[in-house]
Amino acid sequence: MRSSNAITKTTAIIIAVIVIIAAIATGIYFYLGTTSVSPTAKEIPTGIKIGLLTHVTGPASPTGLDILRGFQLAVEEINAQGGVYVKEFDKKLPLIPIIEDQQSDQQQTINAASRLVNQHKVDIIVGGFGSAFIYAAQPVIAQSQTPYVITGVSTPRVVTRTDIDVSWFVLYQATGPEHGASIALILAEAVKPAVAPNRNLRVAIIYQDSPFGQDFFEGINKTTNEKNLPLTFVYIGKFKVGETDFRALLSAAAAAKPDVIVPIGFIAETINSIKQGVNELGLKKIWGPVCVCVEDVNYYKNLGKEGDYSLIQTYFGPYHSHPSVRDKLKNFINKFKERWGVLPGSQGLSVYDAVYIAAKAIEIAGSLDKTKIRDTLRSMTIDQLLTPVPGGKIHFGSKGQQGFDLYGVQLRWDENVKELRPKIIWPSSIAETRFEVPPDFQSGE
Amino acid sequence: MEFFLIFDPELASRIIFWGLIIGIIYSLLALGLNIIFGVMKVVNFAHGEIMITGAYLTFFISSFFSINPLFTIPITMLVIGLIGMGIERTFFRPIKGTSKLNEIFISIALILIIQNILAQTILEVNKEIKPVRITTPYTYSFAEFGSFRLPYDYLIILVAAFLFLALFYTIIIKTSFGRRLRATSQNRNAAELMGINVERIDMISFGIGTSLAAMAGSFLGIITHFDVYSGTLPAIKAFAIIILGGLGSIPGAIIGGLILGLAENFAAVILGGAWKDAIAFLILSIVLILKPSGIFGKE
Repeated sequence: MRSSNAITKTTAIIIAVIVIIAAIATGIYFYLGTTSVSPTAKEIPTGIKIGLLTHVTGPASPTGLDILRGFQLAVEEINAQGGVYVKEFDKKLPLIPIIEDQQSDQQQTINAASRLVNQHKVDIIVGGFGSAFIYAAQPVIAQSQTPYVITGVSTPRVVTRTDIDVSWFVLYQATGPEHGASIALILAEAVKPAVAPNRNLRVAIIYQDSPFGQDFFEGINKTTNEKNLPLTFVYIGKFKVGETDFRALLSAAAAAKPDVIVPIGFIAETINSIKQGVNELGLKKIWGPVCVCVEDVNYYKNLGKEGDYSLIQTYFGPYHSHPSVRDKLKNFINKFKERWGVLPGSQGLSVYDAVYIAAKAIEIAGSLDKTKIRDTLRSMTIDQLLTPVPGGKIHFGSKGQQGFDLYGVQLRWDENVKELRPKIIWPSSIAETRFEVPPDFQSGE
Repeated sequence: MEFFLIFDPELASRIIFWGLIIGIIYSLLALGLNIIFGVMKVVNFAHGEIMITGAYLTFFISSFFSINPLFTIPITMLVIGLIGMGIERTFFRPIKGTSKLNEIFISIALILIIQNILAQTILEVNKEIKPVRITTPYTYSFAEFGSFRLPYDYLIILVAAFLFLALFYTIIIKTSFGRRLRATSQNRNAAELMGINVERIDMISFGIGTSLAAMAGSFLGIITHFDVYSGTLPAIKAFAIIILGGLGSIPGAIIGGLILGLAENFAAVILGGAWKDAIAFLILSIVLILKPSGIFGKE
């Protein structure tokens, strides 16, 4: 007896025919796909997808918006010139900006990076802010094999870690240890001779308890030891990320009788610590050099008179610039202000440069092949852009990092604008003036 | 080395002073939260955002109308109190008696709604969301005791907060309204049977709780910079304080806040800044092990 579930002979033949036709069609497709389509017939993309990681929302958004503005300005400028010439297609392709929000959160940064590489399939990424955030997002990007010009990160670990393939990343930023080294040198070479000519300078350091703060502190410590600088660290304290109340920590620092107090933190932390120290604890000390990450118009505006005579170690600020890039920067600042109604910060500048670096790498590579772009990023040597770099040439090389020419500025209160304004005081080769000791300064001795 | 620093009497007295300042602000915030929880048994996670709304309101009223912020605080408390009553009526009353999960999600939704409204408003006005601080006519004035400098603002905050808390405690203990509020807090059904309009008490207690948060926020804005996102951590600490002091206990919230303020400042100096926030939960754990109902909580 035949089972009701058994297939008929006719049905079996039909299925077999369908399977054979499908197999032949698949074979033809792959055969043609791999051998018959010539490179000249390759589809020309409508543009180059350039991804940006930044904080559009959340507590880091003030800096994130600066990054966004710098990015958009550079993209608009390049597109106004017709885009980037790609030899492979023998034509200029416009940049297609794709912006993803880090949301001031580590997990959201990973998600944002994942969307850039998996959903949008960008050709290259630039920007990003926050060492811990970008460090966490790197594996996703490395796995997708997408080149990334990192800007808003100071830890060198993003290009030295060994758990992922870091060849896809280049770091366009001075690292924490480099910043720390310049802080130590400013103290020893500019501040010490004026404040403590016959003894070691007494230094209290309070730093953010994070890889960022740790890197800076290690840079200061290492340089002091290696170069045998005349600095004595009388107090070292740490504060948590986002701290707003520094009174207890500064009281402890003051009890150690320093000449100088160096707060190492983000912009709000630095402003709060100096204001609280000067106003509420009455500490008549030298403040800084603080981190370049405070370089923003709001720092000059919000720090107020309490910041008079304080120091910043820097590579760019809205009111000062390195002589080697001064003219180009003026033009950039004017354009930025015209476009956005505000002055740029240091992060906005870095990412602006990064877009041009990415464009140049694609142009030299002559292709949107990610491996070629990656290799070009590492091997190319181009003239410095708007950020001063040692030797005036940008070259990431095998270490994958391009440091900046750092210098020190001292802030003085300007009655005309009712804000602080900077003057370069270190190194002596570019100094506009000498370091001035505050008239009410109380020595630590 | 840092541990021995606290034996320096001048340093120790400074740390105690700064600890009391932040502690009294925590006390106000925790008290507001405790009133809401005590009466309604509602866990309002958006309490920190309400606090920051109060800080911004004081900031904007005092800036736009050039009024001394210290005189603006009662207006802020009144406005935020009314907003709080509106929030209770709109968001919490409809879900009262349903799952606790609903209350939690409503308050989390409120966090995002308030943060986004504040962020959008500030972005419209300032173009960017930068931290701000409330300045008073006394911001740069100090009382000097030897090398110890006490800003007048802080002394005013300390005295005003203690006076307000004493007054508030008297109202809750001595007045008819206070008795009705305590009755609702202790046994809602019995209070209703005794003719107390518990829904009205709910609404008023939510208003009181939020106006206390507004006062805490305004004081916080005077002593430090704040932004849209500054309310989250203090609110979490306020939860720790009310558990530490005893759920529903007014003295517990006040003492718990002061303990936390002092502990945070000593921890920052002795153990390092990373311990500053963690110390709240360390103390909480120790208290809960020794006295699970909290310091002033009833067994």
